[in-house]
Amino acid sequence: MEIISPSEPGKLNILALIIRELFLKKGKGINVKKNFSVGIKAGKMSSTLTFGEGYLEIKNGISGKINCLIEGSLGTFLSLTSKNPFFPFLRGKLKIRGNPVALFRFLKIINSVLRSEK
Amino acid sequence: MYSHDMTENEPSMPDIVVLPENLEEVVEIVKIANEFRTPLIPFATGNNVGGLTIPERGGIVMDMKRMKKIEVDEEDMYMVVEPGITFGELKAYLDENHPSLIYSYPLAPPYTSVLANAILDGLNNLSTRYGAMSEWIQGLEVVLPDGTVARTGGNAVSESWFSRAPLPDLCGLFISWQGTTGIVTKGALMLIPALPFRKRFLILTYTYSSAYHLIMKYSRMRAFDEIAGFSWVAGKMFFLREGTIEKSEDDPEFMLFVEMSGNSEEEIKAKEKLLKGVIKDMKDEVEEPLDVEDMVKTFPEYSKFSEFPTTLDFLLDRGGGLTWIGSYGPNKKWVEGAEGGSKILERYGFPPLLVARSMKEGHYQVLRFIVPFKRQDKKEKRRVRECLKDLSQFLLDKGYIPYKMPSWLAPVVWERIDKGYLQLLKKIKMAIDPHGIMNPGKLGLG
Repeated sequence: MEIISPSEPGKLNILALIIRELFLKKGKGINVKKNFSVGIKAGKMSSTLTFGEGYLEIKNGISGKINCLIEGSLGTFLSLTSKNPFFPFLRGKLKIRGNPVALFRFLKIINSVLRSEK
Repeated sequence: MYSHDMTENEPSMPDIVVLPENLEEVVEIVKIANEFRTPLIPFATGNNVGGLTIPERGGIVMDMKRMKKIEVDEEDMYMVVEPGITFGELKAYLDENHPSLIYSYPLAPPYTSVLANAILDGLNNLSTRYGAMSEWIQGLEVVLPDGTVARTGGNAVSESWFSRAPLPDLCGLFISWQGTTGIVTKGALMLIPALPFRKRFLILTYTYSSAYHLIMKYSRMRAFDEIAGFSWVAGKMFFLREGTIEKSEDDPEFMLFVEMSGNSEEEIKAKEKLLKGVIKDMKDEVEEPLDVEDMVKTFPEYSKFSEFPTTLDFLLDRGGGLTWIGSYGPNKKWVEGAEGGSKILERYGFPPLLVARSMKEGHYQVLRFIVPFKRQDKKEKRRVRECLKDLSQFLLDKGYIPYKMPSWLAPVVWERIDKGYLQLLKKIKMAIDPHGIMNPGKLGLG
């Protein structure tokens, strides 16, 4: 999976950089069949992730048409990337708006990333 | 390797390099240098960031790397180390042989010298509780320029190096003097009990004011071992090894690390509650604390920010050069210092990379501005020098005093120093080293 961003990576916020690093390190084997976008508001930072065939675009802020918005603290969002990504949702620690199918797709991708080797 | 270091300071070749193995050899070499009025430069591992071991006037560089003895007194909780012992070696030795005791470790590579760090007044992870590393010194063995061997601290009388008190304290004649008064061949350094439980949190703050508020609150709770942090630059450089970086609108300003240790899980939980309680009413200004262990699970390299000593190699990836102005100063000027210093770095085109630490339970603070640069680029080197000059004047204006100051900076500091202090300094130097052979050029003392 190619990781792209419209601006230089050095202009991405820390949240976007963390996500970028995660996918750069562990997301190579991820395949996405249908394009979709997820907005993430983690604490005061926000990013938009657009998944497409063979790529992930990462942007600062919430922009464009997103299929779902995930909101919560930065800590809760980071726990998605270090533990079981489904737990924070089951515990109601993250607010979701939009299409739950897109959310489920996103969680499945994160889950695959966490379980993949470098 | 003896003519230069990673900083912008000009290289200069030594005439001879000697590597003594023991005290007797050190004494012999010092006597010869004194007889022939030859400059003598003590060199431990050469990793200071201030050009302190560059032989500005040639002479003999005395590389202490072969002096590697270490002894621990578990009962009185101290160790006696020779200058060749590095932090990596010390940690491995204590973990294996004396796991009930720990030392304080720096935000510096494992191949740096334990004793040099202490006598140069460095700051380590437990400096938040115990102050600058010179405060861990309980006694020194020193070879004076005429070959006299002297012991300071309790060991001057007692068999044990149990304390610096109660004799008139002469350790100070060799602390922060940058090797201009003698060669330190041994140092007794305090150890403290290792507690079985430990936890580390990262708190992102959106302004320096909110960072300062947390630093002071946490410091005065007397519950935490380490309260230190970096500006946003370090967070970005960690993830991006090359290219320019820029702060985006919603990026936090400061990454504050708080570490706690305890005798039980309950104690850790109680401290965690204290930590979180402080930020309860600051949700617009800070993010909730992140468990660093979780970050390390996702990004194992993140342990660079949690396990010391550490190699922040990602800073050197940007051209091989690294320099800084590190300073200690009053709490009340920390925010102004952090903001103003950052602006100066930006004005010269450098990212505002700041390292800060609360010292001695909040009695004073550290502001250390780091400049990674391209070592081979002469223009950039000049820009670095100009930037450091401005930065040091600015920090002095705020009451912050540089530590491990390079040769060019000492006269700048002396311009502002108490005249009586400067006279005393010169008299002491003249009394101990009348021929000026010890690390000449350093501290502006001839």
